[in-house]
Amino acid sequence: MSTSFVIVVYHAPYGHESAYHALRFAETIIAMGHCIEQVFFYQDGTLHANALNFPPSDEINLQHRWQALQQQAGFPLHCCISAAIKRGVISSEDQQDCALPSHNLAAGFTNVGLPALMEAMTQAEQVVEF
Amino acid sequence: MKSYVFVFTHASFGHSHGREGLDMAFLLASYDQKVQLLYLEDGVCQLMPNQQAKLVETKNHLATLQAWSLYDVEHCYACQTSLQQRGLTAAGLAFEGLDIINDVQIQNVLANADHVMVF
Repeated sequence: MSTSFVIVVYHAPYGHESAYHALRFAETIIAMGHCIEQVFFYQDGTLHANALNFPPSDEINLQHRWQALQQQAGFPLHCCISAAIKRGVISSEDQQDCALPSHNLAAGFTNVGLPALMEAMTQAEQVVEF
Repeated sequence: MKSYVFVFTHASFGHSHGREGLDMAFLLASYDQKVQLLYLEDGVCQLMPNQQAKLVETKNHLATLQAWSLYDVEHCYACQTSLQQRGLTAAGLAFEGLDIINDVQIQNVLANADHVMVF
């Protein structure tokens, strides 16, 4: 039987193993046939969406793994917009709204308001935080 | 409508957990979700009076927290054991409408929530 999940990621892609566990959990539940309503990046987790992340080539790239899983399973990768722009994770719309010199939101990620998380949590059977 | 318990386990300043957790809690409450706050472990330090956020040039989310009942939050709880461990008493907190609860009551609060968010 398939269960629907929301996954909330609080930690940056580098520096804390929680971020890795979030990805592995997501990959595993997709492989088991469950469904992800949404992955929501909050607090330092929003740094996953910085397109300028550049880990060494022989190390894991969490951003690329999330993008690949999204391509496969089709769920949204949402960043809290207020958490993201405080940390310099800027979409092209944010760049215009905030008069910033550039934008860096990685492909596949979207900056959204907290209500988007609430809607997904209302739908999902399970919410899992990392 | 779902029910949420937001658990705060960190002291007031030094990181953004208290502030960003509270942002999420109040947002959900404003959308008619059932929201309860629970201050646990070092989180109970957020309930102490006269904290001077200005001295570390940070926004004082504790002033917002003091007004929790205005945001349609149902309950604000503090862990009795955590308070005792830190030499704090309910009278010393000067925090209106706070419920001090024991470990068994905490288990019930958590068990009855649809989702638990930890900050």
